[in-house]
Amino acid sequence: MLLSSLPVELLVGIFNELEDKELCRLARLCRPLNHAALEVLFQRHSPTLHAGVLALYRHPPYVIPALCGALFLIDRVIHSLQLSFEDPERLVPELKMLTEIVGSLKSLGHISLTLSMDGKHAKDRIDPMAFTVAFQNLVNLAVEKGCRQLWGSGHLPKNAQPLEIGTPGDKPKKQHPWVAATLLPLRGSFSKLRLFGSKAKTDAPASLVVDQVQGPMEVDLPTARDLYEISISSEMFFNPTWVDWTSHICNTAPLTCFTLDMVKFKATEDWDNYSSMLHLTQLKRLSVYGKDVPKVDLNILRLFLQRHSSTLEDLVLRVPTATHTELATTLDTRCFTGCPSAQNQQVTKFDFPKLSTLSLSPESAQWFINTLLTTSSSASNLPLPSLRNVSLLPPMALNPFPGYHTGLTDALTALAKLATLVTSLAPSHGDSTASDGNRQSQMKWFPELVITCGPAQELVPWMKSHCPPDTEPTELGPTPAPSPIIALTSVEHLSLHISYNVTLTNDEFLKTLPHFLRRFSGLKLLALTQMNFDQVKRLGKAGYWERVKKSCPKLEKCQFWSRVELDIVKLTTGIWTELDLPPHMRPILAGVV
Amino acid sequence: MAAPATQQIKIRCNDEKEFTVDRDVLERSVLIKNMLEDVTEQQDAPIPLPNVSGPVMAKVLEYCTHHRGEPLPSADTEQSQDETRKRTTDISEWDQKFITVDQEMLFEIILAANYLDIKSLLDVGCKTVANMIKGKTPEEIRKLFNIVNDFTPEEEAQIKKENEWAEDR
Repeated sequence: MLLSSLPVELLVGIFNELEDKELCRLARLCRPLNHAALEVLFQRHSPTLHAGVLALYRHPPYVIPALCGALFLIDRVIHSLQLSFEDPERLVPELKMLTEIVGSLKSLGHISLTLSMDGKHAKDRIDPMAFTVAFQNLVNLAVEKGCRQLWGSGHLPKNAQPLEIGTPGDKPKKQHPWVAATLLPLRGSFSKLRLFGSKAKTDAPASLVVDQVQGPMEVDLPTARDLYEISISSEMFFNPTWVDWTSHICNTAPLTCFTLDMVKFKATEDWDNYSSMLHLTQLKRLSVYGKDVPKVDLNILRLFLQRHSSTLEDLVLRVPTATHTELATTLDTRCFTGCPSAQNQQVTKFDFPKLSTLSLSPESAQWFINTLLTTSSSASNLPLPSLRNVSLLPPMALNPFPGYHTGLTDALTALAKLATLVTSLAPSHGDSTASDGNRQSQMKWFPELVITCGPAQELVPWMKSHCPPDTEPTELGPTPAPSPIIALTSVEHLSLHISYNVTLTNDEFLKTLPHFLRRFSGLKLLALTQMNFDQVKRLGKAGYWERVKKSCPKLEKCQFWSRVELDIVKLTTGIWTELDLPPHMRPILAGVV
Repeated sequence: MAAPATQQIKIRCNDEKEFTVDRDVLERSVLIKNMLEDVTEQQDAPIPLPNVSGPVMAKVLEYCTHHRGEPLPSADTEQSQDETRKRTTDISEWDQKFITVDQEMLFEIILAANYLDIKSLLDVGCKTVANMIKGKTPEEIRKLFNIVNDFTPEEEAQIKKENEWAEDR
């Protein structure tokens, strides 16, 4: 009986008693010991290894070399490599070793590298050429292995020495953590790129940030030929120093998805001034998040939208408009003057021939539709001819805030106005099938409406205020005032997303819903959240769905989504229930999907 | 008052060697304890232990007899020990003497302790081997345990190269 012939679990038991360095020594003796010793070492440093995630943070210097000679990696599926680098001295050698490690993997989906550079050798400088070559090799091999996501960050903790990139011996000219953050994703052929500034600098005033940052213009930029998605969440990338780089990357890549996460922006002046340099010729999906941003100049945003309107298919717009109440009145005449480029011209066209999906906060929806109605290039053209889905939701994925329903009403009013316009334009739009007789078919440009409802205490009163005036007063109290929501009868697919803290067993809600739905008399499909299979069945027995059907005679199907707590695996998941409502039959509960 | 008579249990090893042992001694083994609990009626047939030889079982019984009456570690305490345990290779004096055997027997005891599910004995065995490894160079370990190098030349070069880098620091 030999040590190496003991079962792996026993070798692991023995090796658990040993220090890291002893494990490294054992790994050099034979294959079985290499497997067991390094399994112990890396479970110790990366407890997520069993799940295919090798995450090494603040690892001792011998860990990467040991990993380099780890035979267990050959059999192991590693989806994600996450490593941090603290010492400039170790950065380049470890990158080289990491390249060898990546080479031994079967495949790899994701690499995340963090350069904190606050370790023992924090004051050392990195040879930029050596770094570039090592990094390029790593990226090339990772791409060969199927890696399409690289996340790099170069944030520094407070009081730490910043990373310095410069020729050894020279007085460093560039001292900022973002160089590393930016160099990392630059070098690859990746489909996704996320850019963000330093967390440690979030307290610094914007002007200071701009002063400290030295742009990477002297860095040899690659062509990001496979970069399809980019997300920018720091204003830094639009400041004068960086904007050339940003626009170069964005404009030369075949970007189809562009995310501008302004939530973390301290100021938007740089975006306002320089965003005109972006021309994303293949842009299909644009997401702009701006909750809490003090000033988002919507005119700048409008110019950006206009430049990309011919390709845009999917727009997620969640920005505040409260500070731009004057915009509606000045929309036609306001001239954009802040941009130093040739884009300095008045907007006259705001058509989106390919836009099929709109996800907006109510305020943004109101702004977008009003802008569209005011500046559409031709009164005879159908605005948004490809639109298939409108989702109204809070500015960010949070619970709706108080007063949210007022904005919801305004947004629905704007949508209704748009619907009326389309209805009036449809017969003369040159479609051979169009006629007064089938005008309804022309309304299919606007068939799906998703509304995220607000807080429980506001939801029912809001619904009541929009019930048609002929609602029986005995059921709902005083006859409501005429609702501004008109012309939504053409909506065929309505989803009401209700916060999970609102229960649909609420009698008042259930009583109000059929009356509210009379606003949507053309409805064919109704989707509700927070109602489970049993509730649907119970309500069905009480004849509730017949009442809903009476409000919406064309209704064919109801869908319900509810949270389900699965005790066994401690998992919360969602489950769909479907209810068929045939024209002359009682509702049929189709089952659980 | 006289102590209650201890039940005697027969066990048979893979070399047909049989032992008759007090139940509380045998119950140091979680495997045997569970087997005994599953048997509702008294049975005279010996419990077969096909993975343990007579000489090894004799050593195991020596250990169990010495530690009879000591509380068995519960699952909870085992877990908390695993979480908080530092890598200490301290072994009590009696256990050290007990485990001073040749390598072949040492590994057989570890295998038997694992099969019979005697956590404390397994710990003693693992710590003993760990102590033999500690402080030794790779070559000393190779010689001590007669480890044959089965790496391919490429693997060996790679491992050696990278570990040299690590050893320097």
